[in-house]
Amino acid sequence: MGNPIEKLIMKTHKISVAQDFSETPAGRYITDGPYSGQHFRDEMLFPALKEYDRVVVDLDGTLGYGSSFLEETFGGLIRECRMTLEQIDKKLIIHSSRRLYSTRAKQYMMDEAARQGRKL
Amino acid sequence: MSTDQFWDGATIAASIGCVLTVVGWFVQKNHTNKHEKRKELRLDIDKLNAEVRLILSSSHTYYAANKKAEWSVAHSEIITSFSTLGGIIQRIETRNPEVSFQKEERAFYDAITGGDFESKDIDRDPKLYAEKCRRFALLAQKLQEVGEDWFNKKYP
Repeated sequence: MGNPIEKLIMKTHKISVAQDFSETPAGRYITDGPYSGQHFRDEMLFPALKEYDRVVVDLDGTLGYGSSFLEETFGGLIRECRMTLEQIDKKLIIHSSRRLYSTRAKQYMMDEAARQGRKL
Repeated sequence: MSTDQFWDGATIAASIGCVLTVVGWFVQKNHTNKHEKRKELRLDIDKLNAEVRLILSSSHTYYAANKKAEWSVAHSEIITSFSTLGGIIQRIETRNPEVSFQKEERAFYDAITGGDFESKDIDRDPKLYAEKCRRFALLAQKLQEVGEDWFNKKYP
Protein backbone atom coordinates (compact mmCIF):
# COMPACT_ATOMS: atom_id res chain seq x y z
CA MET A 1 0.00 0.00 0.00
CA GLY A 2 2.84 2.40 -0.87
CA ASN A 3 0.99 4.15 -3.72
CA PRO A 4 -0.29 7.58 -2.57
CA ILE A 5 -3.45 7.23 -4.65
CA GLU A 6 -4.15 3.84 -3.14
CA LYS A 7 -3.63 5.37 0.30
CA LEU A 8 -6.21 8.06 -0.50
CA ILE A 9 -8.89 5.57 -1.51
CA MET A 10 -8.27 3.18 1.37
CA LYS A 11 -11.37 2.58 3.35
CA THR A 12 -10.64 3.48 6.94
CA HIS A 13 -12.93 2.75 9.84
CA LYS A 14 -12.55 4.12 13.32
CA ILE A 15 -13.87 2.38 16.40
CA SER A 16 -13.97 4.22 19.69
CA VAL A 17 -14.34 1.66 22.45
CA ALA A 18 -15.83 4.29 24.77
CA GLN A 19 -18.37 5.65 22.31
CA ASP A 20 -19.17 2.62 20.19
CA PHE A 21 -18.95 -0.17 22.74
CA SER A 22 -18.72 0.72 26.42
CA GLU A 23 -17.08 3.16 28.80
CA THR A 24 -16.55 0.26 31.19
CA PRO A 25 -15.31 -2.67 29.15
CA ALA A 26 -14.53 -5.63 31.36
CA GLY A 27 -14.05 -9.34 31.25
CA ARG A 28 -12.61 -11.81 28.85
CA TYR A 29 -15.54 -13.93 27.71
CA ILE A 30 -19.16 -13.19 26.91
CA THR A 31 -20.08 -15.20 30.01
CA ASP A 32 -18.16 -12.73 32.15
CA GLY A 33 -20.37 -9.80 31.30
CA PRO A 34 -22.00 -7.73 28.56
CA TYR A 35 -18.87 -5.77 27.57
CA SER A 36 -16.24 -8.44 27.31
CA GLY A 37 -13.20 -8.65 25.08
CA GLN A 38 -14.71 -11.58 23.20
CA HIS A 39 -17.87 -9.57 22.50
CA PHE A 40 -15.92 -6.54 21.30
CA ARG A 41 -13.67 -8.63 19.10
CA ASP A 42 -16.36 -10.79 17.53
CA GLU A 43 -19.07 -8.15 17.11
CA MET A 44 -17.04 -5.07 16.23
CA LEU A 45 -13.33 -5.45 15.64
CA PHE A 46 -13.05 -8.59 13.53
CA PRO A 47 -15.98 -7.68 11.23
CA ALA A 48 -14.40 -4.26 10.70
CA LEU A 49 -11.03 -5.81 9.88
CA LYS A 50 -12.70 -8.01 7.29
CA GLU A 51 -14.59 -5.15 5.68
CA TYR A 52 -12.18 -2.23 5.77
CA ASP A 53 -8.66 -1.65 4.53
CA ARG A 54 -7.68 0.03 7.77
CA VAL A 55 -9.22 0.02 11.22
CA VAL A 56 -8.28 2.49 13.92
CA VAL A 57 -9.20 1.41 17.45
CA ASP A 58 -9.27 4.27 19.93
CA LEU A 59 -8.86 2.99 23.48
CA ASP A 60 -9.30 6.39 25.15
CA GLY A 61 -12.32 7.56 27.09
CA THR A 62 -13.04 4.43 29.09
CA LEU A 63 -12.54 3.80 32.78
CA GLY A 64 -9.54 1.67 31.81
CA TYR A 65 -8.78 -1.90 30.83
CA GLY A 66 -7.90 -5.10 32.53
CA SER A 67 -5.30 -7.19 30.76
CA SER A 68 -7.80 -10.01 30.24
CA PHE A 69 -10.01 -7.74 28.11
CA LEU A 70 -7.10 -6.56 25.98
CA GLU A 71 -5.62 -10.03 25.64
CA GLU A 72 -8.89 -11.59 24.55
CA THR A 73 -9.61 -8.74 22.14
CA PHE A 74 -6.26 -8.54 20.42
CA GLY A 75 -4.54 -11.84 21.20
CA GLY A 76 -7.83 -13.45 20.26
CA LEU A 77 -7.59 -12.05 16.71
CA ILE A 78 -4.80 -14.53 16.18
CA ARG A 79 -5.98 -17.31 18.45
CA GLU A 80 -9.69 -17.37 17.64
CA CYS A 81 -10.05 -15.44 14.38
CA ARG A 82 -6.96 -17.09 12.84
CA MET A 83 -5.49 -13.84 11.58
CA THR A 84 -1.77 -13.53 11.10
CA LEU A 85 0.41 -10.82 12.58
CA GLU A 86 1.18 -9.63 9.06
CA GLN A 87 -2.50 -9.24 8.21
CA ILE A 88 -3.16 -7.37 11.43
CA ASP A 89 -0.10 -5.16 11.01
CA LYS A 90 -1.34 -4.00 7.59
CA LYS A 91 -4.78 -3.07 8.81
CA LEU A 92 -4.94 -2.33 12.51
CA ILE A 93 -3.90 0.85 14.25
CA ILE A 94 -4.30 1.05 18.00
CA HIS A 95 -4.52 4.50 19.49
CA SER A 96 -4.24 5.17 23.20
CA SER A 97 -2.99 8.09 25.23
CA ARG A 98 -1.94 5.46 27.77
CA ARG A 99 1.10 3.73 26.35
CA LEU A 100 0.55 0.79 28.73
CA TYR A 101 -2.62 -0.28 26.89
CA SER A 102 -1.37 0.05 23.32
CA THR A 103 1.95 -1.68 24.06
CA ARG A 104 0.26 -4.49 25.95
CA ALA A 105 -2.28 -4.99 23.16
CA LYS A 106 0.53 -5.31 20.62
CA GLN A 107 2.52 -7.58 22.89
CA TYR A 108 -0.45 -9.92 23.39
CA MET A 109 -0.75 -10.29 19.61
CA MET A 110 2.95 -10.99 19.26
CA ASP A 111 2.89 -13.47 22.13
CA GLU A 112 -0.06 -15.32 20.62
CA ALA A 113 1.54 -15.33 17.19
CA ALA A 114 4.69 -16.79 18.68
CA ARG A 115 2.61 -19.44 20.47
CA GLN A 116 0.78 -20.31 17.29
CA GLY A 117 3.99 -20.30 15.26
CA ARG A 118 2.67 -17.63 12.91
CA LYS A 119 5.17 -14.88 12.43
CA LEU A 120 5.91 -12.17 9.94
CA MET B 1 47.17 58.59 37.53
CA SER B 2 45.75 60.66 34.70
CA THR B 3 42.04 61.30 34.27
CA ASP B 4 41.97 59.01 31.22
CA GLN B 5 43.59 56.17 33.13
CA PHE B 6 41.12 56.67 35.99
CA TRP B 7 38.10 56.44 33.66
CA ASP B 8 39.56 53.41 31.83
CA GLY B 9 39.97 51.66 35.15
CA ALA B 10 36.44 52.59 36.23
CA THR B 11 35.03 51.31 32.93
CA ILE B 12 36.83 48.02 33.29
CA ALA B 13 35.67 47.66 36.91
CA ALA B 14 32.06 48.43 35.93
CA SER B 15 32.22 45.96 33.03
CA ILE B 16 33.58 43.24 35.27
CA GLY B 17 30.82 44.03 37.76
CA CYS B 18 28.16 43.70 35.04
CA VAL B 19 29.59 40.42 33.82
CA LEU B 20 29.71 39.03 37.35
CA THR B 21 26.12 40.11 37.94
CA VAL B 22 24.92 38.41 34.77
CA VAL B 23 26.91 35.25 35.48
CA GLY B 24 25.60 35.23 39.03
CA TRP B 25 22.06 35.59 37.74
CA PHE B 26 22.48 32.61 35.41
CA VAL B 27 24.04 30.47 38.14
CA GLN B 28 21.21 31.32 40.53
CA LYS B 29 18.57 30.66 37.84
CA ASN B 30 20.15 27.33 37.01
CA HIS B 31 20.26 26.37 40.68
CA THR B 32 16.60 27.36 41.14
CA ASN B 33 15.56 25.42 38.03
CA LYS B 34 17.36 22.30 39.26
CA HIS B 35 15.74 22.67 42.66
CA GLU B 36 12.29 23.07 41.07
CA LYS B 37 12.86 20.10 38.79
CA ARG B 38 13.91 17.97 41.78
CA LYS B 39 10.77 19.03 43.66
CA GLU B 40 8.48 18.21 40.71
CA LEU B 41 10.12 14.86 40.20
CA ARG B 42 9.87 13.97 43.88
CA LEU B 43 6.19 14.85 43.74
CA ASP B 44 5.66 12.56 40.74
CA ILE B 45 7.52 9.68 42.37
CA ASP B 46 5.42 10.14 45.52
CA LYS B 47 2.23 10.09 43.40
CA LEU B 48 3.45 6.95 41.65
CA ASN B 49 4.08 5.26 45.00
CA ALA B 50 0.65 6.35 46.26
CA GLU B 51 -1.11 4.84 43.21
CA VAL B 52 0.81 1.58 43.59
CA ARG B 53 -0.23 1.38 47.25
CA LEU B 54 -3.84 2.11 46.31
CA ILE B 55 -3.79 -0.64 43.69
CA LEU B 56 -2.38 -3.10 46.23
CA SER B 57 -4.98 -2.15 48.82
CA SER B 58 -7.83 -2.37 46.27
CA SER B 59 -6.60 -5.74 45.02
CA HIS B 60 -6.71 -7.02 48.58
CA THR B 61 -10.34 -5.92 48.84
CA TYR B 62 -11.15 -7.28 45.40
CA TYR B 63 -9.70 -10.74 45.95
CA ALA B 64 -10.37 -11.21 49.65
CA ALA B 65 -13.59 -9.37 50.52
CA ASN B 66 -16.89 -11.20 50.98
CA LYS B 67 -19.31 -8.65 49.58
CA LYS B 68 -20.09 -8.13 45.92
CA ALA B 69 -20.50 -4.39 46.42
CA GLU B 70 -16.95 -4.17 47.72
CA TRP B 71 -15.64 -6.14 44.74
CA SER B 72 -17.30 -3.72 42.34
CA VAL B 73 -15.81 -0.66 44.02
CA ALA B 74 -12.38 -2.26 44.29
CA HIS B 75 -12.48 -3.29 40.63
CA SER B 76 -13.15 0.29 39.54
CA GLU B 77 -10.39 1.56 41.83
CA ILE B 78 -7.88 -0.86 40.35
CA ILE B 79 -8.76 -0.01 36.76
CA THR B 80 -8.75 3.77 37.23
CA SER B 81 -5.58 3.67 39.32
CA PHE B 82 -3.70 1.81 36.60
CA SER B 83 -4.79 4.46 34.15
CA THR B 84 -3.57 7.20 36.51
CA LEU B 85 -0.36 5.32 37.21
CA GLY B 86 0.27 4.98 33.49
CA GLY B 87 -0.08 8.73 33.05
CA ILE B 88 2.36 9.49 35.87
CA ILE B 89 4.91 7.04 34.51
CA GLN B 90 4.61 8.46 31.00
CA ARG B 91 5.16 11.99 32.35
CA ILE B 92 8.27 10.97 34.31
CA GLU B 93 9.74 9.04 31.37
CA THR B 94 9.02 11.81 28.84
CA ARG B 95 10.84 14.37 30.99
CA ASN B 96 13.59 11.95 31.98
CA PRO B 97 14.30 9.53 29.09
CA GLU B 98 17.10 7.82 31.04
CA VAL B 99 14.61 6.06 33.34
CA SER B 100 12.20 3.32 32.31
CA PHE B 101 9.45 1.75 34.38
CA GLN B 102 7.98 -0.24 31.50
CA LYS B 103 9.09 -3.74 32.41
CA GLU B 104 7.99 -3.44 36.04
CA GLU B 105 4.77 -1.59 35.13
CA ARG B 106 3.76 -4.32 32.66
CA ALA B 107 4.51 -7.12 35.11
CA PHE B 108 2.49 -5.42 37.87
CA TYR B 109 -0.43 -4.73 35.50
CA ASP B 110 -0.53 -8.27 34.10
CA ALA B 111 -0.33 -9.82 37.57
CA ILE B 112 -3.15 -7.77 39.10
CA THR B 113 -5.54 -7.61 36.12
CA GLY B 114 -4.71 -10.85 34.33
CA GLY B 115 -5.84 -14.38 34.93
CA ASP B 116 -9.39 -14.59 36.26
CA PHE B 117 -9.45 -10.94 37.39
CA GLU B 118 -12.72 -10.15 35.61
CA SER B 119 -14.06 -13.65 35.30
CA LYS B 120 -17.48 -14.47 36.70
CA ASP B 121 -15.86 -17.63 38.08
CA ILE B 122 -13.04 -15.80 39.83
CA ASP B 123 -11.52 -17.92 42.56
CA ARG B 124 -11.55 -16.08 45.88
CA ASP B 125 -10.02 -18.89 47.89
CA PRO B 126 -8.12 -17.20 50.77
CA LYS B 127 -5.18 -19.60 50.39
CA LEU B 128 -4.87 -18.80 46.71
CA TYR B 129 -5.07 -15.11 47.42
CA ALA B 130 -2.28 -15.33 50.01
CA GLU B 131 0.07 -16.49 47.27
CA LYS B 132 -1.21 -13.82 44.88
CA CYS B 133 -0.82 -11.21 47.62
CA ARG B 134 2.85 -12.04 48.04
CA ARG B 135 3.45 -11.81 44.31
CA PHE B 136 1.55 -8.52 44.00
CA ALA B 137 3.53 -7.02 46.88
CA LEU B 138 6.82 -8.12 45.34
CA LEU B 139 5.98 -6.64 41.94
CA ALA B 140 4.75 -3.42 43.55
CA GLN B 141 8.01 -3.11 45.45
CA LYS B 142 10.05 -3.65 42.28
CA LEU B 143 8.09 -0.93 40.49
CA GLN B 144 8.55 1.52 43.34
CA GLU B 145 12.25 0.69 43.59
CA VAL B 146 12.82 1.75 39.98
CA GLY B 147 11.71 5.28 40.81
CA GLU B 148 13.37 5.52 44.23
CA ASP B 149 16.72 4.10 43.14
CA TRP B 150 16.90 6.31 40.08
CA PHE B 151 15.86 9.44 42.03
CA ASN B 152 18.44 8.79 44.76
CA LYS B 153 21.17 8.36 42.15
CA LYS B 154 20.15 11.52 40.30
CA TYR B 155 19.88 13.59 43.49
CA PRO B 156 22.26 11.98 46.03
